[in-house]
Amino acid sequence: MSDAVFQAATIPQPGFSDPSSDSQAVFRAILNAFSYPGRKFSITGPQDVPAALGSALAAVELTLFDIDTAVWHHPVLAQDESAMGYLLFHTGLKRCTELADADFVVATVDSMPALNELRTGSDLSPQESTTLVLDAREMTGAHNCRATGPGINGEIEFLMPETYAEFFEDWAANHQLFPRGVDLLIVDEHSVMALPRTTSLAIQEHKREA
Amino acid sequence: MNSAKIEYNIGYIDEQTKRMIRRVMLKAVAIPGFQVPFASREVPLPRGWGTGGVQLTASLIGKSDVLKVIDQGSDDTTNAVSIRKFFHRVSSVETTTDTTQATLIQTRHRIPETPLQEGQIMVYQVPLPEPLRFLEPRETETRQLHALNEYGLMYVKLYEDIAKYGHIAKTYDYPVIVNGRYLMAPSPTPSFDNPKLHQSPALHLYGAGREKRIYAIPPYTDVESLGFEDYPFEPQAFEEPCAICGSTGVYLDQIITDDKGGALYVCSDSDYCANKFAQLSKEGEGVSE
Amino acid sequence: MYVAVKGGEKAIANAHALLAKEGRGNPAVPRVEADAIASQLPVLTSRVMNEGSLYDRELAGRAIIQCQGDVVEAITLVRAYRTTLPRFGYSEPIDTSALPPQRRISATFKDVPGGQQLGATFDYTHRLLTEPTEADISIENGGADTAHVDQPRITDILGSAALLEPDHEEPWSDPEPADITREPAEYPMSRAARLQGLARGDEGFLLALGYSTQRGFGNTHPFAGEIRVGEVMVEFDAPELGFAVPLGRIEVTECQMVNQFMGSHDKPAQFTRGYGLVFGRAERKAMSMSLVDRALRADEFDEQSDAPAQDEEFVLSHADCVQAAGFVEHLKLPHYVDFQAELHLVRKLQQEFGEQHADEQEVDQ
Repeated sequence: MSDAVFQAATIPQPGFSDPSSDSQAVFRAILNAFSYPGRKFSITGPQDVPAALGSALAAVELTLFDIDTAVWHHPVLAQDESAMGYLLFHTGLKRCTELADADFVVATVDSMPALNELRTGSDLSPQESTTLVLDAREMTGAHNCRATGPGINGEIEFLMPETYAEFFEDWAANHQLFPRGVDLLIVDEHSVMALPRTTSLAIQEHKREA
Repeated sequence: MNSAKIEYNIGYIDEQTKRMIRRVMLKAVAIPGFQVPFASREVPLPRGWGTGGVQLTASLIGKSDVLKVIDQGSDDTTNAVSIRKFFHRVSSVETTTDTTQATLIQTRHRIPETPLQEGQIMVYQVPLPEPLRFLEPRETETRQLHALNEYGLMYVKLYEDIAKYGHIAKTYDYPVIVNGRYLMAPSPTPSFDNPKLHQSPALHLYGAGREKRIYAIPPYTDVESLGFEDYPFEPQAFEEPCAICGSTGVYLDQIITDDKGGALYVCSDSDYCANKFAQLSKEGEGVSE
Repeated sequence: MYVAVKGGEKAIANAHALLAKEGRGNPAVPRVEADAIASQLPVLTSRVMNEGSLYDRELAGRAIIQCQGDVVEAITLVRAYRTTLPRFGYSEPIDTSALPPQRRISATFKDVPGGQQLGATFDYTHRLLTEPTEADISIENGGADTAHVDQPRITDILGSAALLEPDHEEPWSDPEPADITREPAEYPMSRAARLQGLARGDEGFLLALGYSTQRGFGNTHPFAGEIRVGEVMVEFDAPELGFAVPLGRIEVTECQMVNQFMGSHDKPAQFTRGYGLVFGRAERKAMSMSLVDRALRADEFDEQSDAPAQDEEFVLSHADCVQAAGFVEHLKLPHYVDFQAELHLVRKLQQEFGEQHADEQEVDQ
């Protein structure tokens, strides 16, 4: 089914009630998250949204995506007609099926692709990397982490949702690639937290039940 | 021919452009000191008069912001007034001259004397974002040098200064290394302001509209001004205090008072000076009572 | 006691009021209206539309009046307005040979299929200042009516005989052209991006560069293959409809320069092209653009490339009048802070020079 038909077949729920102001507020939370890694910043999204998306993730997508962004969505979301209809209607984002083509990858903790499958940019253009948006509403567990790097006054401790087994090794490798590398934006029910490529992680305590 | 009325979007630029600039800002923060190319738009200001800063501010600003605009440290210079009025006109946001009250500070050539705080954002208007530009005019070449982490050219320039003058002869736009990796131009702020960037609690965003680049120094990031072990970086120092508020350890403007060489020195940061002066007057009253 | 100068806002407001007064001129003379500019100064209007990258005669006319005839300022106004316009989509490529042109000449052949058509041109006017009269505008229909004769592009005729390089290589995937207003410029540029940069480039700058190639700084041996001025149809392909919808006509000037090429190791001798396409009647701009376009292709043909007009980064990063004018004029802004920093340094250097000099004199004695 083509995107155009997809869009016409469903009547999507409303997006932001005030698109300019609402997306500005969400953006500032995301910018704060990138500026102060490891800290959570709360966001308010539209209330009536497709369940597969949830309010906060919908807010992030409506804020960052448009016809100029290629976005890979994890299979559950990609196959959810009401969620995709909603996103296409409100953002016009370019759907992509290959991770390598994606400017943004949207995944859940259990559908998260390995970091080394994502685009890291080049030394000339390290900005041509993928940003991973992690939907962390349904965590299976979490690691107590200690982070250092730009944006962090000394060090900070925070809970990193459990994803795939080699995540911490892969993150260390990603960090080593600097200036190339993937950036991570973690979205839960009501807030965002970011780990830019400059953040160095150490596991403090192994696996805590969420 | 009937003349249709012209109406503008909130914050002037359209939402799609804001999104593009916002995505670029996130990359800039994630890669400290790296100049991220962006499709700079024209804004109602001549190129070179702060179009990069204006695009950043327009993409950042919202209802809960309080905006301060300074040029040469002062809130009252013509271009600062003009830009502040522009944002008031297109976004009706609250403005201030008080550094501590501001959430967003757009600046040209200075960093306020009052220490910045967490959550504040500095927006710099940048004329030439490339620190190597006067050593190598070609963008194709300088991009390679950044990619290769090859900054020998700059060290050679500074070394030649020392050989010729006995010290480094760079006084503003003094190059820095950000997060131990990228050579960055801190825009034409005096080298006096460079130490304020190191491990600053605020976010520093740099916008070069004409040159189409955005770059950033995140909060709490190492910013090292270039120097040599035997010839370390030395910011300017002023011998006399401000003639108005008596402050020392601040950047001063020279005011010509007559045509016989008379001059006095006053704070370049007008808000800081006014606050200090008010404080001084208050203390003075306290004593006399 | 010294008090810092305040009152910037008031000074600015007064300056603006004075500016408005200057712009109004003698109140006894009627105000010029935008439609008068758009219809009676079409060449000026075209320049503002070209470098403003926006096809709208009335807005261009308005901008020219608002700027009191300062063309660069008018272009800046149009550009700034253009930023605020939402983009609905992309039109289909225009076909410059589809509609009968108002003017079409070739300097390469005496007679060409469809004939030479002079159209509206200053070319053969005597440059004598005269009084305009209504009699001047009556048109005598002496010659053949060429409006309905097929006028193929000269370059297509040459191209079919393989004397001219094809307008694209085979196989041709017809990639989406770059868009310099949406993507940051990166060097080396694609030819499409380069042509966009030239199309919005400063007319005077391109004229001087084009001229420099004729004087030996990157000679391209040009011939004016064809210059065509006329209206073309703009069509929009709406995905919902599945076919292209005509949006209207725009006037354009196209110049195809045909340049001699002696051949290289991999390519036989043939004619090559320089291309210029601009809004409205702007022949000088289109010609300059095509000269510079060809000069910038030196590397493609393994030609020696050391002249300013052949230097892509030099030409494209300095061609934009909005950027150039803004940055030159920003020197008017206060620079107290950096000047103070330099004063500090010069004083220090002078002092050191004096001390050193004194030491040397002591040694001499």
